[in-house]
Amino acid sequence: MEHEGPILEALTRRLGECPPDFLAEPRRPGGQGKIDVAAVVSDLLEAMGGSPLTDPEGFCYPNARAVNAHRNRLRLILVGAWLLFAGELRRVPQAAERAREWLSTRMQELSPYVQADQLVQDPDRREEFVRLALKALDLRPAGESIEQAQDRLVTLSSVERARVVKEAQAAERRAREIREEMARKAAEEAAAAWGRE
Amino acid sequence: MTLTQEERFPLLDQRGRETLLWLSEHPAAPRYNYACGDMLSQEGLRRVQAYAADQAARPPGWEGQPEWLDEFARRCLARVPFYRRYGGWTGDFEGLPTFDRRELARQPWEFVSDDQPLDELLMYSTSGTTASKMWVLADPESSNKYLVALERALALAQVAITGRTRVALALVGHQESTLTYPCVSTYLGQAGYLKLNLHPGQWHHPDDRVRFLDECQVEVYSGDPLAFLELKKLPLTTRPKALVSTSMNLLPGMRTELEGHFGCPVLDLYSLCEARCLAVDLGTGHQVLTNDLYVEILDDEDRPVQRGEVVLTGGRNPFIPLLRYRTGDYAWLEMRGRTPVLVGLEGRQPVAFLASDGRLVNNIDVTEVMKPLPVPQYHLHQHADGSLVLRYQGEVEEADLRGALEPLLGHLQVRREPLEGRKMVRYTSDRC
Repeated sequence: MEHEGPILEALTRRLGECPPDFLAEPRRPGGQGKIDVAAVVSDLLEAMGGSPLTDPEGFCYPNARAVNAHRNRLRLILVGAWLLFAGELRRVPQAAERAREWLSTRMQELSPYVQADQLVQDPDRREEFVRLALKALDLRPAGESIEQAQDRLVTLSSVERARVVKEAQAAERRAREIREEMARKAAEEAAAAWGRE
Repeated sequence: MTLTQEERFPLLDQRGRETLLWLSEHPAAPRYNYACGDMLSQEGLRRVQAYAADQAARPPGWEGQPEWLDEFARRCLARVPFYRRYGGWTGDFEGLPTFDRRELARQPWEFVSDDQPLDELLMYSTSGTTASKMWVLADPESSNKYLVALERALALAQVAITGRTRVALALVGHQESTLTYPCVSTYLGQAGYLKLNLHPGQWHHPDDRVRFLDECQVEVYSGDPLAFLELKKLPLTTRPKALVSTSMNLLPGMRTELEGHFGCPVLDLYSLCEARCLAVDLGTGHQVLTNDLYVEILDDEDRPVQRGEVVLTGGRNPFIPLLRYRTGDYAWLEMRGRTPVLVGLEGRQPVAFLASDGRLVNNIDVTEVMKPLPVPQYHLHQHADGSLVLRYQGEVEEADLRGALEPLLGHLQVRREPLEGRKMVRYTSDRC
C-alpha cells in the first residue's frame, strides 16, 4: 500500500460494469464453455508488460472430472483479470508478477466463500475486492493514507469474515436440521417405502 | 416408531377403509411384514392431480433444450448447497459440471434446497443395482407422482388404471425376503395397492397365492422378470391389463413369452430411486415419460455423444433436484419428433469381451444375440484368464444358450443358478 493508486470508485464502478465475456463459462477440457481463462490471464500479463503464460496450470481445469471443484475459482480469476485490465493498474511496477501471484493464490482462497457474481453485484464485496487487488499491487486508493486504507480493508474484511461465518453457521444449522429430520424419519416404520418397486 | 392409520392415510375414506381391511384380513392374504401408507394430504393430492393434468396436457419432449431448463439450473445454483459451490450461473448449461451417485450418497442433505420445507420429509435406503447403500429423501407428493408417470407409461400401451377393481396395482417380487404390505392409493380412488412376495414361504399356504390374487382382480402387476416367471406358474383365472417390468433389461424373448401367457402388454420401465419412473419401453426403446426431465447422453468429459452415459436434469422429487446427474446407465438418445427415446439402454459402462478367436465383442452384440431368448436374468463374466461364464435363471436350456452365444464368443461355460439382485448387472470383466 506504499503508493497511491487510482480512485476507489472508478474501480468499483469498473467491477460493477464487468462485461458478459468475463462472466461467461470458463472453457472446459472437453471444449464446452466459452472463455479460455489462461488466455485471458496471459493477455493481461502481456498488457502489464510481463511475459505471457508458458504453462496454463492454475488457470484452467486440471482435468475433465474436476470441473465442479474449480469452476468458481476460474470464474473469480476472470473477474479479477477484468479489474486488473484497468489502465491505471497495468502500469504499476512489477504489475504482471504481482497480478499473476494474486490471481493464482488469492482466488483459490476466496473461491469457497465468494461467487464471481457477488463480486460484481454486491457493493461491499466489490469494494473489498478492489482494495485487495490494490493491496496486491502495493497500492492504496487515491486520497487515502496508508493507515486509512489499512483500517478500511480490515473493517471490510472483518465484515466479510462475519458474513462468511454467519453463512457457514446457517448452512451447518440447516444441514443439521435435515440430518435430525432424517434420523427421526428413519425410525418411522411407515416412512417412504410406499410405492417402491 | 409406529404411525397410526390416520397418519399413513390422511385421506382414507369408507371405500379405502374397507379395502384395507379386506386386504389385511382376507383368509388367503400373505403374511405381511410391514405397514405403510401414501401419506397424502388434501393439498398433496391436489398437487398430484394438477401434475397429472399437466403431464396429460404437455407431453415430454424438447427441441434443443426444454424451456424450463435454464431457470431450473439457475435456481439450483442459487439455492442448493451442493450446486452453490459450482459458482453461479453463466447462462451456459452445457458448461456446468456433472455429478454421480457417489456424491449424492455422501451427503444427501446437501441437495436439499434452502427453501424446501422439511415437515413432509420421507426417507428410505436403497442399495441399487451395483452401488452401495444410499439414503433417498422424498416427500409424499413426489412418491405419489410416480403413479402419474406409471399412468403415462400405461397410456402408451392404451391401458388405463381405473381403480374400480379391488386392487389397482400389485408390486410383486419373488425373493427370500422383501417388504410386503397391504395399502390403498388415494390418488387411484382409494383402490387397493399391494406389495407382495410370491415366494411360497411368505404365505400361509402356497395355494393361497392364486386364491388371493384372483379375488384381488389386480389391474396391473409391477415386478421384475423373475417375479413374473413365478406369477406365470400360478394357475390364475384373472388376467391383468398390463405387466410392468422394472428390471430395465427385459429381453424381447421374455416379453413375448409373458405377453403370450397373460394376454396383455408387457412394459419395461426405466426407473431409478433418485428419479423414479423415467422412461418406458414397449419394444422400440425407452420413451421418456414426463415433461419435467431433461436427458443428455454424455461421454466421460461431459461432451454430447451418440452413445454414452444417461445424464438427467430435473425430476419430480423436491429433495433431490438433479442438475446433470450421471445415472451410470448407457444408451443412445433418439429424438422421434419431439419425443426423446433411449435406445439400447444398458446398466453400467460398456464391456468388451475377448472372444476365443481374439476378436473384441461389445456387450451390445451379446444383448442382440440374447434378445430372442426368454431369459429373465443373466450375467456374463470374463475372468482375467479370458474364460467366459454365463450364469442365468429361467427355463431355457443351457445348450440353447451355448448355441446362441458360441458363434459370437467361442467357448464359454453356461450355468443355471440363482443370481443376486433384482436389477442385475449383466456384463462384467476382470480384463478391464
